Amino acid sequence: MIIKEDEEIILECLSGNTDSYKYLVEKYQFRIINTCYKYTKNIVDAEDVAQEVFLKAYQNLSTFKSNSKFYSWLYRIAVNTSLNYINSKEKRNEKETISEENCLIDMNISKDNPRDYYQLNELINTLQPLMDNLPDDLRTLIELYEIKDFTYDEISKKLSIPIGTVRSRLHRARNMLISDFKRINDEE
Amino acid sequence: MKNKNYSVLGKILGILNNDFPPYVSKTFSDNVMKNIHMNTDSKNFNYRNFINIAASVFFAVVTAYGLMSFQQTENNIISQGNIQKENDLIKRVTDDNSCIKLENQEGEQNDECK
Repeated sequence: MIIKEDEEIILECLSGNTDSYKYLVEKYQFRIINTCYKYTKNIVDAEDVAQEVFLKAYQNLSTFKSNSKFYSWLYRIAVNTSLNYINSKEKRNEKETISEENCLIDMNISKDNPRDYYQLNELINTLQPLMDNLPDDLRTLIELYEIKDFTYDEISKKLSIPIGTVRSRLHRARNMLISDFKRINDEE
Repeated sequence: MKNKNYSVLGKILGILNNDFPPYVSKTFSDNVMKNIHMNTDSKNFNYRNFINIAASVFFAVVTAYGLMSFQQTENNIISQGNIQKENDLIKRVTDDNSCIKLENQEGEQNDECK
């Protein structure tokens, strides 16, 4: 199972392979849409803003500095784009009308097309047992890198292990989680 | 380019960080990619348009220059021909006059005037 690092995917995109960018979109779509959702307060607007966020990020990919995490950079773009969206909406004085319309759309989505949407809250309970099953060293790495947002360098210093080992163990941990998650949730 | 692992990893990251919205459209990533491709294509289209316009202007200038040079050469040929004709006429008229003069004044026959 091959899961490429973000930097590797970015390099592929910059060398002209636009389709690789889809991996980054799929990896971060849930978190970015949720960030936008916190500002827009409705899911339809959040998806529109998130789309703009990913487009902006793609157009400015060459300015991304690899000494920071891609998600942190993407998050900043998401916050700025959401704030711009809210400001422009307020300027148009349509805030209340649009919110009402979109609430209705939200209700339609939840009732009519559940198969067209991911609902992650149904999967929460399936993940904790998978995390518990991971070996201690791998679980610690996942927690430090993916939840506490440490960099490879910081983890390497904290755990006194080489960066290469950090990378390979994280890779192994991710692969274990993905294959177990797919098996449990019948995602093939 | 189908690889579900990234989408699954995205779900895992969302759940681990308790950072996910109530719903996410399953076609979201496809829509983003469509948008990106549309933007890239329109940029390429603009670039192609620019090249086409630049090429048209270049050929227009070259053609105009060519036509102007050609017209100038033609004018020279025509004007030179006219000058030549005029000179001949003048010469003949001058010659005629000189013949009449010669006939009147001297009454001698000039072979050239016959």
